[in-house]
Amino acid sequence: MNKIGLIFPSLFFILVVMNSFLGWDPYGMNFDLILKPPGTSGFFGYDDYGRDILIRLINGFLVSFEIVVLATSISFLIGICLGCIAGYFRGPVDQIITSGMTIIQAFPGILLIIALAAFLETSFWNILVALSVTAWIGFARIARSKTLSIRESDFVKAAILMGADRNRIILKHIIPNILAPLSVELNFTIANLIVAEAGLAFLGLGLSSPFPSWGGMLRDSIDYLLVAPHYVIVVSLCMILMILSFNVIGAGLKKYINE
Amino acid sequence: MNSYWLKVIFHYLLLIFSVYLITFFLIRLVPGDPIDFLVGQSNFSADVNQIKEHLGLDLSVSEQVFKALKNLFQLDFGLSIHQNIDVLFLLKPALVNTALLAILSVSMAVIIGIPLGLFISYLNSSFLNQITKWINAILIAIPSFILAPILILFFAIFLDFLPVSGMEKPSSILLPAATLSIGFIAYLVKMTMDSTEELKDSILIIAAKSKGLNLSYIYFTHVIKLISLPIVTAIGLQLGGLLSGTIITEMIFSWNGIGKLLIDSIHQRDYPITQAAVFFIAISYVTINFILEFIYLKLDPRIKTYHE
Repeated sequence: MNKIGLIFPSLFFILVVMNSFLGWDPYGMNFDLILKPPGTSGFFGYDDYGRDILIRLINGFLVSFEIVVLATSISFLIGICLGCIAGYFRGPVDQIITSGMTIIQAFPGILLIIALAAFLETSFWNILVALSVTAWIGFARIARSKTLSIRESDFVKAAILMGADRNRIILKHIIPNILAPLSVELNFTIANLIVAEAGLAFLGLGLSSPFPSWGGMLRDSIDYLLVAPHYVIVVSLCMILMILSFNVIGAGLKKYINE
Repeated sequence: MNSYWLKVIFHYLLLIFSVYLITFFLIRLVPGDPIDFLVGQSNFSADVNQIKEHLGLDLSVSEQVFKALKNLFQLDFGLSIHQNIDVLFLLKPALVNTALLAILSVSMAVIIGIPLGLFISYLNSSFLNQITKWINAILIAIPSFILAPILILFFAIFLDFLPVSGMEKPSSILLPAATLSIGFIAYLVKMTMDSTEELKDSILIIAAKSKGLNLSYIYFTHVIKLISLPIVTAIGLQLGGLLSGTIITEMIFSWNGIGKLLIDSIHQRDYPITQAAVFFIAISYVTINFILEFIYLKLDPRIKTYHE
């Protein structure tokens, strides 16, 4: 049942690959086709400048997904490092890292991301930074709690008795054992960051207008809610399906790992 | 008052202070000189000095921290750059509007979500459970900026009985409140169903059943008490999402709350307002969690002994 989650993202990946070979133009305007509903020529219809919505969705996905995947990888690495360190060394090191996490978590949801995006210049790298600053905490929390329990297990004690040093224990014994729960978190983080990135673009704090982005397209489409409801429906349907897919993949992985 | 509460309160104050310092120093992230950025091409030195003094950027870092502390205790958040009004004066009505929206949507969610979850698990049909699970998964995952246009399209345009946006009519609050509460309702239904599922085979329920109590009576008096703790936790966790969800929802429905104030100030580069709005959203979240800690203790006094 949970394999359903793979269908939509793979479909989009195929379109992205096709796009990179065929070079569909996301900026090509055709003023005869402004806000034309879906038909035989444009699969998803056309937007307010007569650009093909499907092509813009594909290109927007490419940019957003690049940011999201990079931000997820960065936060995964930071989270696993800090989480392991906090869980393994405990004491004051743990306290410093944990209180750092508590302070960042005092900013609910995407508030800190919005605040950072507001004060930093909008660029690819700064959005990446803003997203990563909050996303690592999910990984760190899981890594820390798992490390705390694995550290006390018999096989780690055996490894210590056999004379394994600290690095070997962390790298060879602890990290392989916390990868499974972290991979579940990975999918949820991707889904959350897609929402956060689209939210930023929606508020006008993402990459600016000529670039296609899902959040930006959604914001534009709301202006044409009355005249061209297909624009809103197509864009939001795509976004819902993508977010749901990653949530379903995450839930499936969780079930698989727990069994 | 004992050591447990002293510790909790100390942590709370420390957290507020750290959050304040972060928002205070956000302005240092602005690339280059924030003043050049603000004044732009037409910078007269008098203006520059005035704004610099205004933002406290003419002081050294240690002096700025000291000034920040002093301002916090005096509840002085500076003047708005563009409107030259006390920021607190702008914040107060915005906070009230947001609180109105948040309270209405949370109460809607609690009133609908918990009974609905209990009712569905009371019916105990596996088909219905499966369908609810899928609907919940969809509704929880939908972000507010997708839900809002769909709701507008349906209720304001297709059915045409609710205003699209603004806050002129009393009924204008319904669509933004619904946008915020739908995901939360789904979440509460899920939570209620999950925790009731765990209780179903417990000795408590079997004992109540064997006493001859009506099943619906057991659900709506005993079970509801037993599942209240995870639900309070859920409300606490979800309020975070709600508080940041209001930012986008308020923008869509032009609801003059703190979220709209925040985003407008970002677009106008009115930094004192941005700082104050970020700070107030964060501390309301922290404060809600702090209050929840009290409620936990009321619901389950064992927590205190566990901490000690």
